[in-house]
Amino acid sequence: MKSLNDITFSRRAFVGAAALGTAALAAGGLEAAAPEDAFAEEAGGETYVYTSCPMCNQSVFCGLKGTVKDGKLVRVEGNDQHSKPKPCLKGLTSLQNVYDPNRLLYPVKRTNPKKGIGEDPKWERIGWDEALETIASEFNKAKETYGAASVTFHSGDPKEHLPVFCRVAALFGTPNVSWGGAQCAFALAMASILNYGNTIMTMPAAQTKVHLQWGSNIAWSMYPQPTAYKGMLDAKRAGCKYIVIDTRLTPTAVQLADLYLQPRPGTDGALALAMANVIIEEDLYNHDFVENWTEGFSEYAEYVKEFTPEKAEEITWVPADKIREAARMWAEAGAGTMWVSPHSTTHHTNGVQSTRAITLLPALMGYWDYEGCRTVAPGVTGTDDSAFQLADKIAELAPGRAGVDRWPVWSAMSTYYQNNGLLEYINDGLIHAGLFLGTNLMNFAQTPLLQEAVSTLDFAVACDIHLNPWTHDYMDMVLPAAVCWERVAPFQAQPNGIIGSQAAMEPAGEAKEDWQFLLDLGCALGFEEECFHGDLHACMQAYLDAGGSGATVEDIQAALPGVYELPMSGEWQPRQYEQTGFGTVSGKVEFKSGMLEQLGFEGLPVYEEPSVSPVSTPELFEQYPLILTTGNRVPWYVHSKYRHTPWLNQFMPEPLIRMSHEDAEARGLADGDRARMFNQLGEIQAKVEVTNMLHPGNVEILHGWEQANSCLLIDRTFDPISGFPTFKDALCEIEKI
Amino acid sequence: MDEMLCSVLEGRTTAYGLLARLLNREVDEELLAELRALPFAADEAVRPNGPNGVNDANDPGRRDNAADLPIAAYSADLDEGNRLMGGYLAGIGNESGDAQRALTDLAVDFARLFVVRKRSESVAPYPNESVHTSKEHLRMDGARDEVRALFRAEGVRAADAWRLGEDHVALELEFMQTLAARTAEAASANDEETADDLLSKQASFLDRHLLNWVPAFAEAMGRTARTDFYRGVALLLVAHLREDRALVKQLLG
Repeated sequence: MKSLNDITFSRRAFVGAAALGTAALAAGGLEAAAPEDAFAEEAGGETYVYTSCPMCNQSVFCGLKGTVKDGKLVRVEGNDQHSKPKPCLKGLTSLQNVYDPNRLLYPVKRTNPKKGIGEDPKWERIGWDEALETIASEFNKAKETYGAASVTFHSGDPKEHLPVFCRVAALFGTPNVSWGGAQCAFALAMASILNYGNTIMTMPAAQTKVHLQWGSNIAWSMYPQPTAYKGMLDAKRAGCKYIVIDTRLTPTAVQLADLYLQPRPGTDGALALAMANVIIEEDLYNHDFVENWTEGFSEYAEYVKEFTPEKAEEITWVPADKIREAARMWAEAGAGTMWVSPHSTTHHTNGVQSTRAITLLPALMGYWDYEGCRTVAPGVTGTDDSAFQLADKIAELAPGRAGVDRWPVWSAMSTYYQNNGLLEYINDGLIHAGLFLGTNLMNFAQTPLLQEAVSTLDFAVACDIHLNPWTHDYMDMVLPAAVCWERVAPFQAQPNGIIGSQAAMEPAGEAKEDWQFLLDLGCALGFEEECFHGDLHACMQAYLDAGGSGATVEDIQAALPGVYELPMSGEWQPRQYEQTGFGTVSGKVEFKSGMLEQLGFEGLPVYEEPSVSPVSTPELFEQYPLILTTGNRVPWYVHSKYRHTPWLNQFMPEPLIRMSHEDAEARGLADGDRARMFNQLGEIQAKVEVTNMLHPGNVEILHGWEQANSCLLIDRTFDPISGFPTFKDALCEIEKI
Repeated sequence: MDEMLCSVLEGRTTAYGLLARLLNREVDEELLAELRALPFAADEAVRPNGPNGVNDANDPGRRDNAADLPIAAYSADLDEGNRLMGGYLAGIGNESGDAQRALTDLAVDFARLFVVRKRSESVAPYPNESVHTSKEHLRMDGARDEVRALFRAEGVRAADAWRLGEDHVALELEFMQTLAARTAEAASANDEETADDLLSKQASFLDRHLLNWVPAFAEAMGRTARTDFYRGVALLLVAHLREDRALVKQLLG
């Protein structure tokens, strides 16, 4: 080392550094590093962990295997022992989701008390203790002042927290609990449950002769799982015929369809009724099944008479002969299955009734519970979590939900409240505070109205993976959620049992897994005993105990990467309905729904034009001559998620307006041009993609873009039966910028 | 050993410590009081007076007795950083509540810099090296692995509660702090070989890691900060690393 005399270093640097140093010493030395601790030499090997993919979040989903090396997740692949063994690109990208540098990693609270559009929250980092104390104090204050129902437990897209979420909400005493099924999935379930007392959607089996694929582009959505589409292609090779009905000429239609029908958006109900018209007029229906196992057939048959293929052609754009061909292909096959998208035919004001009309087509043929059709197989035992969720308490609280009068059918069929009315619930003084877990305000039509309403809440706390200004700027506090590789709690039901999850690492920063946070919240709210004193393991065990399987958390962990197998409740026998009937009011399949009639709705699956359409609003159509459909799927994103994750972002880095060659040419637009898309409600701007997918007169944009929020162009009109938003009932015009 | 050299070596150690502390978490009441007591207030700032420098009697950076200060010793960023931090601290009033308001103001700025992120962001003061150097802009990418291996080679690891990756700026600075402390120790024990070896490692770590990304990080930090305090920290951070690199080079000869 040189001596100091040889050195002409900056005197200023020396003086400054020395002076600064005194403070550093007083501040306490090292905080992040641990020097000279004895630590074991690393083996340098790889270890494996197993979890279920939450990237799509229909629920926890495909099985994932993670490789961990030197404290880091280095590789993600499928778990071949899982019932959904092959994740898609989104699942593989969970690796990049963990290490996204933009994740929120600490609880933050706003320091600017003024809330509203354009206000900077001025976030400040806080500790979990302060966060939990504040939430508990604010929620209890609202409870004392307005009652427990004034606090909403508002869940967005995630599902895997729901058992604990519902439990803590029930303990607190609020019935105003929501889930993402209120915009997706559940309206489809409602339609088939109203008809059959059960769901109808099934993938084709080996004995299936015809499969009707309606509004569902599985090649892209990969729902119900990535390998399902391969199964469909295999079934096609084995001879199954496919009728694909979709407003868009999707990859699924191109690859699978023996017959493809492209209806005008929102007219699916008329098309289904016209198919029924042909099947009945040509006497192709299954007399035995219809006479013995259905209710309301004669009125239904009378009603569908008006939907001749020719009349339906006028309504739906589908040529009459194609409707006849589809009806015959469906009716003459002898064994048929059906898959309907959870969110395409339901996003119209006529959603449930149209979807009922569609899902009644199997009833005409008696395609129910025998080989090659929808089979009602006994499920696995020991996974019922209703006791854990405190279902009795939830049922007791349910009449106090907001929106029960507005959407009585939803409210009768679901234990959740219909959160599409959140705007009115807040503005009418029903909701004063809320926990918004995974909630996105861009999910609501006319988003700014929601942003303003949420700003007026006495207290709002969100829990999320990212801090999203369009939602979280209107909150008082935001909490960091752990991602799948950082959590152990969610179990996943499997066809033959239950499978557990392992964490690859501790959560980054101070993120917490949902179950842990909810337990901590429950304790802070005063329910220590019922929330297991915050002990996650005890909570997981209680969850298993409630199902009655007798399994321990350790049993399930030990079974990984495999499934912890549980007994089935019985063996499948065909046509069980001959013994049990159907779970409807009449005990039969209902062409005329007893429940709908009881609740003041038309019992038949009547067709009405969507509230906004070229037919129902001709004056609007003159100004805005393009039908706008939103809320579709692409293979690389789910809702607003992963828009900036490199492996996914590369495929669609920015919003695209998809339109036909004809519509583009008529407006002087070419592929890649920037355009404004607008209507009487709002305007967004994006690049144009000219495509064969869209029928002339129909355009679409993917939802969930912060820079081009499609919900600005959607009205606050809802399906009166499901309460679903009308993401596909809109008109617009497009102009080059 | 030369008392002056010892003081220099201890000084650089503690400077790393303070920078690490400032970048690891918010300023708290205790640290604020200590910082306010330090002499890096605005009037301490140094810059050469005219003709090219400023020569305004009202300039807080003016220094009348700086004639003996060699131009080589002048670091504009170091001075500006001192001036900004000092100015901010001097601007905090002494009324009741003033310190608390400043702490909140600083905490909000800290969160803006290091906690609050938009998903769409790609240029921001990300405190982890790998975010700046990895192709896909991710935490825990290659730089983290390299840094972790270097730490382990020196018997240093992240504290048990650490959840932000080894390539976090605070941890990299604490690694330098640790090696700097060992250097001072070796020097005071006249163990020149060890001291030189440690200094070489620090030179290499500065070149391959801190100086490879912290300038970009600090630039983003300076752009994002809304308080002069953190603008000053950003300037001081880079200036310190550069000055220290020069010092290490000179010490190594």
